[in-house]
Amino acid sequence: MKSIKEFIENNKKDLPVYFSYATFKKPAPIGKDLPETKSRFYRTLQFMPTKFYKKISQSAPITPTNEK
Amino acid sequence: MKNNYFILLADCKLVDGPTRSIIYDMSRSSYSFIPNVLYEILSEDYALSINGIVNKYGLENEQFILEYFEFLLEKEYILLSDNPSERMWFPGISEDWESPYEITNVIIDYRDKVHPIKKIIDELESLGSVHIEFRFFSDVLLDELIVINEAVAEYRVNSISLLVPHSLKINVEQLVKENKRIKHVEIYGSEESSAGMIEQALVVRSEDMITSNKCCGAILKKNFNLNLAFFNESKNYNNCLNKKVSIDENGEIKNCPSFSDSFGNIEDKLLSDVIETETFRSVWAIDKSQIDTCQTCEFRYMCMDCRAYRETPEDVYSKPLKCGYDPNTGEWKEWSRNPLKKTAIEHFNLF
Ligand code: SF4
Ligand code: SF4
Repeated sequence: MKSIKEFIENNKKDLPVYFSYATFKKPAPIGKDLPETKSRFYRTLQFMPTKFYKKISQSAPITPTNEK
Repeated sequence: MKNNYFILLADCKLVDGPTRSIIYDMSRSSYSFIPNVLYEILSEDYALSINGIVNKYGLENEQFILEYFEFLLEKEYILLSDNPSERMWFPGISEDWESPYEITNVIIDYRDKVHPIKKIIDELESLGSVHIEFRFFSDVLLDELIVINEAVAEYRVNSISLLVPHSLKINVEQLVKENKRIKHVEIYGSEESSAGMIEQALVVRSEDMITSNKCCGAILKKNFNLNLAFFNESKNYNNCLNKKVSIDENGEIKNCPSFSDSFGNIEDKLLSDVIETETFRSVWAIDKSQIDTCQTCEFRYMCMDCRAYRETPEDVYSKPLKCGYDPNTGEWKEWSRNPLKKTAIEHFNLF
């Protein structure tokens, strides 16, 4: 097995300069992550059917912090 | 971490290739290359705890496997859970693609002939909420932009892209301010290249000369689309031609302006009659799984599929001619210098 760090390093040159305008609207520089506007909780929940959302929100109150 | 089970988030999709795989992160429109063994772990070993995975791949690989999971956590592609039954709380996202509209995207080309634009927009209105790309291959029709602007004003055209020569001397600021549906303007033949937002529109200036529809169809990393709608459409349909109708510079109605087959001229044919025919719709269904080479490429659901310019012109399922990527080696090369593409380049009369 190969180390993931090494793997990423070897594949870096293939990362895009920017994605199409339809997706992003703004160019993102090579190797930089896009602005993270969605917290992990938000991301997990946004695709979740309502009944699951309710179940989780009852057991652990959700306070999304870094979504815009 | 070792006693936990991983849950891959539903908006992170795995796509394998011959030499490497990719995690497509739909919400963030970004992606990461991963080794094929990690693809295997994520797609096959989800019933195992991380400890179970280490046992499966051997203790000598423990360090690498833990490193893989640290990477996945850091990127927020996965969650960890100590209870495998919690996975049922995270159902997958459907990979179907549907649209209530007959037509979703349109290309209208101009050189020196004007089209009956009011009639066209009027008809498109009844066919759907569309994205229209107006492409100008000469600078003789500046006034036509005003006509177009007026024609779309009253209708539910969803968004507009413009491709215009620098020599057309348009006032971009004013144009995008007046028409909020313009989302993208590309000005070719500019003195220097740049890209930036003006109001709601991405304005790209390029030094390239885009003199005809033959310039279309280039497969470039910067044109990749990474979002759920595109992913799902690519899985089920042709991601360029599905629900597309085009009007070439002579007014001929086609699937794509670069196709040779015309379904009649816009002066005397109705778009709605054309798009109903089986022959017109046949290319809509050519998805990536049918395309030679692309069917195994890790970029296949973010990369536009060009059916007009193909490596083997007589084969409708052949790989896009203007792609320089070889998934079997993981390398990009300049496609136009590939000697194996020479016959096709001559066939399409590209240079
Ligand atoms: S082989 Fe080229 S055209 Fe085909 S999916 Fe991969 S990058 Fe796109
Ligand atoms: S099929 Fe090819 S040439 Fe035609 S519009 Fe699509 S990308 Fe362009």
